[in-house]
Amino acid sequence: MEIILDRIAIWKADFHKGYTVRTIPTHTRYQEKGVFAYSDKLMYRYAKNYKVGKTEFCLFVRTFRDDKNGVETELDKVAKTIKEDYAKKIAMLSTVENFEYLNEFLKGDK
Amino acid sequence: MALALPYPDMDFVPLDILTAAEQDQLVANIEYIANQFPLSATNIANSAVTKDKLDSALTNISDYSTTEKSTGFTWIDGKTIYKKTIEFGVLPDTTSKAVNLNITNLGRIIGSEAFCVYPTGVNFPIPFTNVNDFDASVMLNFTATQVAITTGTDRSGATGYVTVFYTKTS
Repeated sequence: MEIILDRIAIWKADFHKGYTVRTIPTHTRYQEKGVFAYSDKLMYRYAKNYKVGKTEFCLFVRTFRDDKNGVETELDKVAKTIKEDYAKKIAMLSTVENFEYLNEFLKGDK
Repeated sequence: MALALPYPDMDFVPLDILTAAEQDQLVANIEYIANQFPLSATNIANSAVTKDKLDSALTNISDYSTTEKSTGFTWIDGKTIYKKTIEFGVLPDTTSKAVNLNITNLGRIIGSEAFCVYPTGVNFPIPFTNVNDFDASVMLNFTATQVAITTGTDRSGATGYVTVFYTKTS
């Protein structure tokens, strides 16, 4: 799968416990509004683990936005809409390469 | 078993590009996990279970043979259960017939499967009971060395097969 800018993805719970940020170097291929491009500035990957019922999952997103707190707020909001059955399915199907994009985008970039 | 990974806080999600240092950490974690489960009676080496070995094991368990086979199961005393199919030949005519089991160190017979078949394709299990005609019944029993079939009527047109399940003394 390709990087889709600002589109929130769901995966099994990551190793880390908190909210993490990773910078992505320029010239990284990504897709925005259906068009492929190469980044000309730093991109950020935000990821955070959540729990619904007894099931953990991870939401992550890649964006040019550098407001860590603002992105976290939006991820938290989306996390509340995740049902446990869906999170269980994701936990079972997740591999290093396998995850699912949600039909959710960071605010302002839909 | 709680694992204390050397790098427990690796931050990774799909499509992340790991640095060389992070890839080294990932390898260190994998090596650590591998070392926590050394080879033993319950852990097996990579590539130890091959298709050929599985096929061989399954064939041994599931196939019927006139030679002795381990079933892969054990009896309540923990002893391995073996099986062997005896080609009984033609059934007797209103009498008894015994055939040698030829099993060395026979411990205990724990069960059997038997049937006979006529050239016309008619077959039935043994022992066989007939509620309308008792003489049509066929009896099956074992001694320490033989399997015997007794018929109350002429069954010489039928050929019998007996699979015996047993343990061994050693």
